[in-house]
Amino acid sequence: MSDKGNILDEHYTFMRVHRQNIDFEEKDPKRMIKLSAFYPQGDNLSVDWAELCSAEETKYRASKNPERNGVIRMLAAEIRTGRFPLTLDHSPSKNNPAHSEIIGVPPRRATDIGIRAKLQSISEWVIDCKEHDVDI
Amino acid sequence: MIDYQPKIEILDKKEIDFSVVPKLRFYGGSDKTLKDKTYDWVVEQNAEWIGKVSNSPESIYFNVNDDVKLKIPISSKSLIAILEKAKYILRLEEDWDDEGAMPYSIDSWKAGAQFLISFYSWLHVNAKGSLHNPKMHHGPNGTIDIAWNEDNFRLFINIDKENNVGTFYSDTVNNQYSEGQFSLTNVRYHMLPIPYKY
Repeated sequence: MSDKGNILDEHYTFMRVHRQNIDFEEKDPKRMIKLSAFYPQGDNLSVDWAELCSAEETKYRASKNPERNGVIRMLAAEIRTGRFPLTLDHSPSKNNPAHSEIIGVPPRRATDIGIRAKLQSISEWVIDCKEHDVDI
Repeated sequence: MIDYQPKIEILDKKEIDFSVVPKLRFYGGSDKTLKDKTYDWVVEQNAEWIGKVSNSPESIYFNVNDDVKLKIPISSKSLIAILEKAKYILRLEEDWDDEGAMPYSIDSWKAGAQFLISFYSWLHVNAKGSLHNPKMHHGPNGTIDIAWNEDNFRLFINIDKENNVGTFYSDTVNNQYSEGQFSLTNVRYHMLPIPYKY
């Protein structure tokens, strides 16, 4: 099911970042996100529409070990504009009404490093991630 | 225009010791370039060593793991440090991202390291001034990312061993950017952005 066009430019999207995709030696919050964080698991990069869920919900949607993830947010307007304009579509699923996708426009190779560099530069941390498991 | 080959090929053969940095002098190039605003491509043919070039008695051997040892033709502590930190890539086990990701092959790692060493060697000979040091990270789908990620300059290079392709993207805070790709077996290093400290 597609519900395109509802994500306004001023809306944010949330995305999980696994700790293996974080450079914990790096102090700059944007630069500590390795570009490998922006590699889509499927055809497109999955994010959550922040109008329909919280960052905590995005984090705990991880199927395994959600505590090993942080959450970043990206502004829809910045995803859609700039050097590599991308399409942002709301594509809710049965289990996740906030599910959305960032789609490369024009079609480019999955390893296209410019797009990943763009996404790193427009990301902001919402939930930090620890380098190691924390015993409670 | 002559077919320009990266210096690493020469260095490998002569085993130049970079603790004694050799320099190249070019004849008929720079003045003419400034006055006539045309580049004299023939200058490369007239290059000669003017620094002391000694035969390195021993190259540096870097232990990647128990089975693989890497011979590095230049003496660079920063390069060794980069490679040492990049060993983490080979320790990533199946499902390292909790989403089913596969481990990285030693061949993929070696391709990334080989590119980095070759680019470093070329930079040491051809670049004047201070250079930023990169980090070597795991990339998408078994590939390797090499990142120069600074306040005012970024250069990202992806090394895809399986497809024999490198891709790069670079930008600055002043909105200058470039991108492209190259064959891993035939890299023209002078066509890549140089990670100068501006």
